[in-house]
Amino acid sequence: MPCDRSHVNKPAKRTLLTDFAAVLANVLIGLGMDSQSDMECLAPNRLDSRRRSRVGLRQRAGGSCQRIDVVMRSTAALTLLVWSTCAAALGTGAGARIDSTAHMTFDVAGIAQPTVASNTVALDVNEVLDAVVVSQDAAPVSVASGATGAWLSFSVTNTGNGSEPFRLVVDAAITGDDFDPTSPAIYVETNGTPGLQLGAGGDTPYVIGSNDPVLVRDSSASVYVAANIPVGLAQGALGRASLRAVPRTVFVEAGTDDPSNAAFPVPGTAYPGAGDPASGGGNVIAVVGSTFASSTLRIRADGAYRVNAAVVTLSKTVTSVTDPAGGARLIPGAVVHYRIDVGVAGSDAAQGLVVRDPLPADLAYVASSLAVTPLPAGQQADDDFAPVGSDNTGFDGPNNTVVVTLGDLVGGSAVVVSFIATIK
Amino acid sequence: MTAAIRTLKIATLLACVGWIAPALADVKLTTSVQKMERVASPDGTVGTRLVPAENVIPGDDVRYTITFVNEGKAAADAGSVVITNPVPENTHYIADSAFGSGTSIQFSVDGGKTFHPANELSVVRDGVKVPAQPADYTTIRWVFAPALAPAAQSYVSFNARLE
Repeated sequence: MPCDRSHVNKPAKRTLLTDFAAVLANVLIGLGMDSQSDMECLAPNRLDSRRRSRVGLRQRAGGSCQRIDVVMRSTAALTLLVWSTCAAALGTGAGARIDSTAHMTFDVAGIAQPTVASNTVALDVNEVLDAVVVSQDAAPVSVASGATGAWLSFSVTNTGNGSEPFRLVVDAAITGDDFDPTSPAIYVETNGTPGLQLGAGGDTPYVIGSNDPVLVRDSSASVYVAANIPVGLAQGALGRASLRAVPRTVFVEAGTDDPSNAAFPVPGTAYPGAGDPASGGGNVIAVVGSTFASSTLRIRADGAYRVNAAVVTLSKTVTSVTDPAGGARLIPGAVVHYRIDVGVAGSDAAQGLVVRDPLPADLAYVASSLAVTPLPAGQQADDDFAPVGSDNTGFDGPNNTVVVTLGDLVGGSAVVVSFIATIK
Repeated sequence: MTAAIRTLKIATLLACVGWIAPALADVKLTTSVQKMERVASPDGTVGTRLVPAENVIPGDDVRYTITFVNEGKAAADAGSVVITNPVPENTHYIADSAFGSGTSIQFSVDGGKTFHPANELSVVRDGVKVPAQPADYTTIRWVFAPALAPAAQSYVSFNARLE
């Protein structure tokens, strides 16, 4: 029987080592060895097995990249050096074929007999349909009532083992919150700048069924949901929107991408022949994975908006007046102590807070009298006032104004500002 | 072809003069694989049952069974019968799953160059020699202690998990 080369070029196995086995076989063939002996024409898996035992290496999925020095001794005394690059894939790819062959050696009456090989059994790895959607917002996105185009961030990860287009669906009509965001639209991160950018050079608007993002296994996409916030909402009102990612195969096979539809599949549902056509020759079974479990439904995640709930209060009082005669009359030369109480109520932070107190022309600021308690980091309650830079607290002489930069104050914060002025 | 015909002629000639060829041990080795499906029992425990391995995905456990039978007329020597099976690509060996009646089971972590019992295997990880984990095993070896007499048959098996 002539040496059949087709088996060594079998495309189903795609590992470096199989390529190496093919190299070995081709080298042996190239050396003009005929098919008569056990050595030169080996069944592919037997070759695989012998190669293993001879070169002593193995590539593990999920391992780090490693240099593999292969020193192979054969009748032609070959030495090969092979570098490996291996991906840190989480699962065996859809369409992969896993072969196994056993060998037996034995003696009869003290004489070693030819090695016996078993048949080769093959496992065909099917496609798992899985996706994980995660909100990327650490907290509800703070919005103003009436805001337009406020956006939520999500990640969509293909945790299956095939290459798959994903249908993205947003649901803003979620019960149990205070309001429904309106006109939700989906964008896929495409311009490389984190966050949602609109317009020319911005991120691409998503149109379902038209530009479904195709994710290879273990890869992720950043997805944004932009929506409008109704007017007239109370401080602290919460509105949720959910994003779900449904493998297109599920939509095609089940006829729905809606988990509340009775036809929506449960984990383990198998679609023969529907697997990733890019692998396995289009004859791969697609199996719905665990992320579709209705109890956890990891293909969907909620994001939330909260109407800005930081309410700032300012209260200015005169704490004492001392006139030059020792009384408390507001006459020229009288010294006036002022106190400003700054408060932030609500559950959000007031951001970029600056307190300005323009003094009337009849008042003169007393040098070094400004005090801020507690003093925000980076600020100095001295008199120098720089309109730029880190210390923007002080007395703005040309404008006769006391300026206190407080920055971000979380709900519940209280700051006391005090200074002294004299009546001219 | 010519050589084969010549061999046949010689064999026929030898048979005609009553020469008896030495008896051979003709061992057949057959591998099969089944999926180990997890089955929840009414009492709350989870068992497994073997089903055809037609529908496998990463994370599935499978059992490889290698049966062997001596269809020849001579026995294979006691202690000489050795079965080796590489842990298939894209799978890893499941701890303590290798089985073989009358065999001693050893493993290799170097692609079959050397074999040792499970508790004597080590690998170098991050420059430190540490005990080998089942996922490090590259090859399984069963050494069958008794002789394999004509018509005798047995089997060995192991379980692997798809990565």
